[in-house]
Amino acid sequence: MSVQISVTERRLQEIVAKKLQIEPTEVPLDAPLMDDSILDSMDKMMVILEIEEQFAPVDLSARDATDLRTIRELAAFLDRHAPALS
Amino acid sequence: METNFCLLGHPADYQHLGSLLARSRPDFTAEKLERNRRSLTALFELSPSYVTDCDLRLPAPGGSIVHGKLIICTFLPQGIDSPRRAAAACAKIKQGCRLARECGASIVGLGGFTSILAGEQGRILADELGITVTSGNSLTAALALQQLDTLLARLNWKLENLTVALLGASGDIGTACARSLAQRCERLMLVARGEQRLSNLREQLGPRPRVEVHTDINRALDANVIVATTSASRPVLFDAQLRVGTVVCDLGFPKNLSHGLRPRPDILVFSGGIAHMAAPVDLTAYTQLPAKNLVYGCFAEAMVLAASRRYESFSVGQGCISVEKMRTIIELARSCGFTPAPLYSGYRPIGATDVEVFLDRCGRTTCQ
Repeated sequence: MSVQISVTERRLQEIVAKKLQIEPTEVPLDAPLMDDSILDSMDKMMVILEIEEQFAPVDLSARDATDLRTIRELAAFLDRHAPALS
Repeated sequence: METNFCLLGHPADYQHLGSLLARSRPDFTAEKLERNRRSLTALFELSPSYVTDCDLRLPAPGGSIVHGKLIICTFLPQGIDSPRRAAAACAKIKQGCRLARECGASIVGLGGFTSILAGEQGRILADELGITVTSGNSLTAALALQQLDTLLARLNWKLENLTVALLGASGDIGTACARSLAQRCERLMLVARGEQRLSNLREQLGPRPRVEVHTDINRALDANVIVATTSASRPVLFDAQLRVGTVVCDLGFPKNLSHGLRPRPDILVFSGGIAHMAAPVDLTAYTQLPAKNLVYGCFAEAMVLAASRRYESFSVGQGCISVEKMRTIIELARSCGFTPAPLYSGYRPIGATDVEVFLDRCGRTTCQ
């Protein structure tokens, strides 16, 4: 059974995959992005910097970004705040 | 007064932040700091990045003086536990870079986690800001490897007979160390969480017979020497785990290795990637290093480049540091009075007695 993936989710998978040097499809949509088992602290910051660059002018440090954890949640947030890019 | 360089840093952890706060507020006792940990951390993270009052004066070849400033980015690595907080930390670092530009700095040295600005996106940002940045990773790696060579010579151990585990091998400093160590040690264990990145690195290193890839950090415990270069915000190893006769070079900021209460004279742990300055520039409150004439390689590299009037992004990108690049920067550092620091374990110099006791405990001929 194929899983529906949005354009934004796919782009986020690609950003993380590039950092991890793996295939985008190997990046789980529902795993917590900030889990130490996926990315180290420096990688996390680089990924966030890259996301902010690609989805500018979105601000992930904004208060309404507080509860974002997974790629899926991040993608939904980005779709709300940078809809023209999705 | 012209500012030639700026150094960007951040406290290693809450204890470090507490010591900085206590400098200006002596009434902030340890007990008070502990009681108010949450509120003080929150206040610190709400504050903007700031330029400290440190006036960094550095003699340059030819007799002139170059001037620098230290900028503190107001985040703690341990707080980076969500995309929002990671983004907030990135924003503080960008803010720090803007402050450096306002100070008129020609080059910015990126300490600790601020070195993300030396990555691909950071380079774009630096271009936008019109400022030159360097992560200092080339000099950090070069210093650490020379410090390791010094200790091994004192032990009369030969690298070509040793198994070396490299923690955080896929990072920028780790990759640089791997390129050097793969040519010199008997067996090299590349350790990090991403297997694919490690495999790619092993391929880059060429047909070396004994380069291994491990994602389980416990495999590193088999090594004679552990070089720890992870950018973890908390320790990844505890000294109680280490085998008798293990040498550890810890480059982490915050440290990768945590020490227990029981002394371990049967292991040797030193802080790697540190330079000794011929002319002291006191940054000890911010670096937590044991002497005024010591500085982290990440800062030293920007200082050396400024003193040499080479305002160039020497260390940028990921995985771009070659053995030749390390050789170049350490020679340039020497010409400016920066040499590999003497060996310290925390605040304590590693003396002849430490080495003797260590050798007695682990057997003198183990690795000769």
